[in-house]
Amino acid sequence: MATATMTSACGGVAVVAADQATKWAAPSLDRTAIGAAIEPGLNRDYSLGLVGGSQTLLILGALVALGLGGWWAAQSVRSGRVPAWVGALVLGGAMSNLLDRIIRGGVLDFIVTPWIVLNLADLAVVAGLAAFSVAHLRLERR
Amino acid sequence: MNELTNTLRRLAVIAMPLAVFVATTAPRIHLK
Repeated sequence: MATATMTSACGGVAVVAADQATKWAAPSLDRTAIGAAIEPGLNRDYSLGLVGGSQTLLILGALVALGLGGWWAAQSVRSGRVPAWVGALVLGGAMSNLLDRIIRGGVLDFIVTPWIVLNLADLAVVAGLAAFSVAHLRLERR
Repeated sequence: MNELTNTLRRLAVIAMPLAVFVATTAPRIHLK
């Protein structure tokens, strides 16, 4: 299962690269050219403003979540309980947003939906976590 | 005991992803 772990790691790096590239390009994009509204803005808080406060504490919290979640995801991928791409999405997305907090002092959101403004890393984490939970709950039922 | 372990494991499968979601993503509410 070393190959699966390696696939997750490489996929994670690709997710970080893709997310950082879109965040770099977002401020200069034509707001209507890609058929979606683009509105770059920095979010210093956690998801949906649920937790706010000192950026140092938020970075530490994100590091703990990334460590625990990463460990669990790595174990699950290694044992074949979840596919390698699930680990790549969760780890890559979480790492990219953490990188934002360290470099920019907050996370850059730019994709506008009717209810929320988010970024590629958020989408990757949500998709990965949903697949992760479904895979685990399916195994529990057997 | 076995049932308790299974329940705790199921709870963890829900709680851990939720905690990771809150701490590692940062969508913001869109104020029009």
